[in-house]
Amino acid sequence: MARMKAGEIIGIRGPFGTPWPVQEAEGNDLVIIGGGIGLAPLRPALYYTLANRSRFGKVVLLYGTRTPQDILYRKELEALRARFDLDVDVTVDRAGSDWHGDVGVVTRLIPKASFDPASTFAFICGPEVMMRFTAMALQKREVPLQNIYLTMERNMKCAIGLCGHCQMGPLFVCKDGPVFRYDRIRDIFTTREI
Amino acid sequence: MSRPGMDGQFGRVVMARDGIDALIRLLDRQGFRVLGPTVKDAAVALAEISSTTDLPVGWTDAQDAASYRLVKHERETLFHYTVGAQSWKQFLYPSRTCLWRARRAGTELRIESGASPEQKMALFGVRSCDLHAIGIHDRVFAEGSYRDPGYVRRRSNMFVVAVNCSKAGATCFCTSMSTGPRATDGFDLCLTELTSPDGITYFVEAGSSYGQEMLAQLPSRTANEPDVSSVNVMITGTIRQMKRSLETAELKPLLQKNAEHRQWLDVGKRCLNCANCTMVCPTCFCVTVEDTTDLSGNAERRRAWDSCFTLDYSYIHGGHIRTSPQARYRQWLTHKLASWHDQFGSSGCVGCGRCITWCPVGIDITAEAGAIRKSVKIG
Repeated sequence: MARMKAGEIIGIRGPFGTPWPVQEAEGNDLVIIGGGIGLAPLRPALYYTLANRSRFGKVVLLYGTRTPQDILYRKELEALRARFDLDVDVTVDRAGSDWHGDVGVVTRLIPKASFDPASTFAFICGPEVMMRFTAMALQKREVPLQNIYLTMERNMKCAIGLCGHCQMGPLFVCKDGPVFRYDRIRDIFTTREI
Repeated sequence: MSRPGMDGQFGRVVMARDGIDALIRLLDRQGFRVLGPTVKDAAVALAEISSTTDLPVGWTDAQDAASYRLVKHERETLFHYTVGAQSWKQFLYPSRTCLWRARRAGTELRIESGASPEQKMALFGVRSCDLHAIGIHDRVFAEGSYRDPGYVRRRSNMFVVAVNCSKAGATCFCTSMSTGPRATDGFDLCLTELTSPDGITYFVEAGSSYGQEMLAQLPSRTANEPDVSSVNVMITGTIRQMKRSLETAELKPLLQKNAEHRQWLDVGKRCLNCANCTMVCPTCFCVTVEDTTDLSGNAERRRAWDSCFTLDYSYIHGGHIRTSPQARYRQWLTHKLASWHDQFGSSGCVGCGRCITWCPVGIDITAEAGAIRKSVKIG
């Protein structure tokens, strides 16, 4: 798609499925946690939050990726980091000596992040293993399970619940998700190969 | 073509074989493509029929796990066998469909529907289990929040001639699933083949006003009480023959709570992941969608049956969700018997036994679910 020229045609279907519950999260602190390319689906939620900044308490963006070269939206993140109404923290799995930021998995940013757990919503997107440990770290800080949302990914061929591919237990990720409340999918989410 | 009538609301008649031939001719004259059981490649297969001689006359079948044989029957019966490998889904939800095509016209792309004109269909000789399978597909394709237009169109123009089963196959378990052997719902006409020392006759009941209209045009006599009791006796005999069973009480929570049961590993060692069970299942509906483009820039979006037993089925960027055979078998069985209830409000299994007969290693859905139940009870 990046190689297409002006005037070429792209077909779009949608939107399908469930969105980030941004309005439900209003009045609370919001922690947005992305892993790798998983930052992309969180970007609209972040921008909604910033466009309606007064309706939220503390807003925190935690982002983990493989190397400093893999940081998505780097310029945007640097600009957002300059804001006083938003905490942005970035960590990478490995880096050379020219990186002066955090090294380690994104879950390590959670204990030191500034939010009030009892009234916090969390939106998570990233690899499943990252989301699993992130949800556990949030649980450890006593964020209510029903306030934790994550987005699932499965093979999809239709987006309307008819092709069968995206099933995860009784759920169709395409129409029942992709954004799920953690307490509602925890048992399925922690079963291997389901 | 219709939803069913109340018992006794429509007529019941008795006819000879020439009446069945008259029915097939009448359907043909009314513009239906009449599809029914025939003998092909040493098995009962569904195809176009134009008279009763196209049916498996004088044949019966012997089925068991991983085994299917046609056997000569001593009478000139038309329906003394159970279901073959194919189900009606191949006509209502074909294995390959073109969804749409795009043609390049200068700088423009012209999108055209992939649907081609189709003749309305009469399904002739539908067993009760398969009627229920069609009912299940109605809930999936026609009654959900998204509809499949092709299915809805074919379904709404369809005439159904059901047949009550005169025998139970060794892999049948419709009585466990409350889906047979008597057809109670969803047909225009229902036939029962009655064999007596005097000959073979057909008890025919209408299930819709259209069926009733058709019935009035066929050579027959009005059915009497002895005819009705002959039908009942035959069906009771079929029920008595049914050897396999599946305990369905609390089956959904049982399977959903035992996702890590060792039985999955056990069946995973036997399962070849060949996908036969999903191809012959009358309710399995998974499809894949592929886009193709030719060198002139014309493109087609095609849909084809897919199976949860293939590795590619669960592929996402650089990996597969279900790599092990046991995970794929668990997905199939728990979807069929458990999560189908969550998704569509009923079981996805109609007890037709096809998956047992056509499994090359004879894996039996009733035995696998039964093994989990048994071990949990003991434990």
